[in-house]
Amino acid sequence: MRRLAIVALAAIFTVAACGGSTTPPSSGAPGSAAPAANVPDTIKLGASLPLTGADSTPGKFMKDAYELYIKQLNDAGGLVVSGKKVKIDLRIEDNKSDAATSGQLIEKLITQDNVDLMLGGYNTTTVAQEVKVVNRLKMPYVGGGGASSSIYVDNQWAVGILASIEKLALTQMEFIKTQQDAAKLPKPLKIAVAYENSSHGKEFLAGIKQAETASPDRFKVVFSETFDLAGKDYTSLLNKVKDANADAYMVDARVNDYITMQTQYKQLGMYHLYETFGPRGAEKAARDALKASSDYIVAAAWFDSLMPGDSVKKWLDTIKVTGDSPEWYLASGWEVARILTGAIQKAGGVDKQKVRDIVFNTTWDTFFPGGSFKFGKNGQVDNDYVMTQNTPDGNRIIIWPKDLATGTATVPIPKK
Amino acid sequence: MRLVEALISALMVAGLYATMSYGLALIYGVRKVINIANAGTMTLGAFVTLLIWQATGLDPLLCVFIVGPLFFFVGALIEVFLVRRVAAQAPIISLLLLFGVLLVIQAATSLVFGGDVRSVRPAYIESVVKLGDITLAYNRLAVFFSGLVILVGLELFLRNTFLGRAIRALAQDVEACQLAGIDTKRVSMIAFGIGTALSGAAGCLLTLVFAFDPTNPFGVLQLKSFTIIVLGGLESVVGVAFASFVLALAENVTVTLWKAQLENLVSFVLLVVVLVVMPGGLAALLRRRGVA
Repeated sequence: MRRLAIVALAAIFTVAACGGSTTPPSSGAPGSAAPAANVPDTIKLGASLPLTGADSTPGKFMKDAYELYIKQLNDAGGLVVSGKKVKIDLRIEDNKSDAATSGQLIEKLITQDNVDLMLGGYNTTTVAQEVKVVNRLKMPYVGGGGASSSIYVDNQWAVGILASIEKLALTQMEFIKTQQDAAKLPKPLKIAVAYENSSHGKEFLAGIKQAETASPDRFKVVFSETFDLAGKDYTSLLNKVKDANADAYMVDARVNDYITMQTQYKQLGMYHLYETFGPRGAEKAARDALKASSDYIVAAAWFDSLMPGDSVKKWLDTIKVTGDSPEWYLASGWEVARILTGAIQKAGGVDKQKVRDIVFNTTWDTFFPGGSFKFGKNGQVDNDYVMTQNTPDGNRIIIWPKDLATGTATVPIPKK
Repeated sequence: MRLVEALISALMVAGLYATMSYGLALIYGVRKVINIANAGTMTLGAFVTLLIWQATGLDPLLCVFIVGPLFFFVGALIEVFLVRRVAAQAPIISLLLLFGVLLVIQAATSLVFGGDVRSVRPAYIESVVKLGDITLAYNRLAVFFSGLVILVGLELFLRNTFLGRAIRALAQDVEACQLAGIDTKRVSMIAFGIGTALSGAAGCLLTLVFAFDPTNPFGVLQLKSFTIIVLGGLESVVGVAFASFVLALAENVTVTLWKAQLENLVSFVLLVVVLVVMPGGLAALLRRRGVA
């Protein structure tokens, strides 16, 4: 019994150890005609970000985006709200990449630090926790770090600028249709799907299935199976994929799993006409690790710094000062801060209901694909994704949507 | 054919599992503490390997010869300055202490290296050996044979050297060892050092197989190590090797015949079943049957 207790405790401890305009609107954009009487001298914005732990890289980038945006506002004298310049006090807490901790920190920021409004965090699980808390405490929240639509079930107070994972899959299926029409891929396309055991993964499969149901003449899912996160060996799973004789291999996985699985995929000498790891593929860590083994992999993301347009260029110039590479989470952090401060201006203050209604009912311009954000009833946008393909020179090109494309997709993938 | 592949794959994975579990079993045997910091020292071993590889290009397999001795001293220091001080207290204290060490290692690693995913990719990383229809990856073969070499070396050391026999004796009866004139403190320190060295070496080898960051994927693997040492009998090195194969086989057959998502479930169900039905593990079972 003593041995049982020791091992059980050890297991518990191990589990516990493992969790538009690109410039601030300060001086130029006046607020709405709301009276200035209730406008405070300082507005407190709060955020809980993963500054340490597994998600510390995107967490740091989002922090940099928030801080730079607010600094520019404050340096210009403050945010103009109903004709009054208001300083912004930004309070960021480190949630250590832990969802439960983040929920507690959000509650503390709201109930003890009395922040006026909330900027969002990162990671689907963590954001889901945060959204629960802000709904309970009726606090407006603009997020840019969680995409699963499960986050927004029964949501009234939070919005998210990342389109759903189903949309990610659907965007890829739309792209595939163009390749079928160009006779580059067969009809129907036999697809093998492997997806991580999370709401993220399940929504990825759901998007593919939705496309299959809508266009059975074009798509046929011949294999689909889920796998646990942080897997150590995908040989058996990949052998089953091999047996499925699919034309396309579509996976939803995190970076670690993507690297491990793709290495084994190559070791087993596997090949498909089309291969994707959902949003993964273009990350520096994965490209550095996989090198040529990640060539031609197609990825879909909410933003890519290769997108053409003056607004993107202007933003890239602005954020150079952070020293961060222009990843999508740096861009989403920027846009989140811009939308929330824009809503404060439009509301003429920090009245929570008013800010919430304005955030939900306004169409916000953006440098993300689509050019604008319009939040759905659940609080999530439905923007298109931008798709990239890795090229053999170690770079990538944008292949979709057509108006943003910087090159022509290599489909089918060349067989080496 | 798929079952044969699953069997071979299980053998490869068993080498991986065994490598990361030897140290855990050795330390439990001598100190009767679950070294929960094992995942942390594995992670640290992986990051030290990354540094050496980046600086010199030295193959991770050879890094073992640097990381191993280095981590021996780390382990010896942990034993002398931390574990020894709480040895007489309830098991929960040592568990909490080593949990603290794990968190310190994770936080420090995260601070120094950031949260980015890292990987070590020697030139042969995607090379394979073909045996008919069976494909064997070099990196997994390397880990498997390293696990085998460590098993043989450890068994020879424990059976044929005075220090090894002292470690085994200490695992069986501390008081008898003291009466026999064995310096139990010194032997405990050395055993803890060897256990930590094995953990660091496992970190080296795991870089050949996984991409890693300060928290992943070694935490999940540690949970499997618990299953292995319980199944193997907690104090038996051969038991650990055998249990590693049993666990890997159960997982691979399940994934092949059923679903990939059941892989982790299999190992944790096995942990519960073994603790209830066969608390002495496979080693006790084999002893009862007169096999070992």
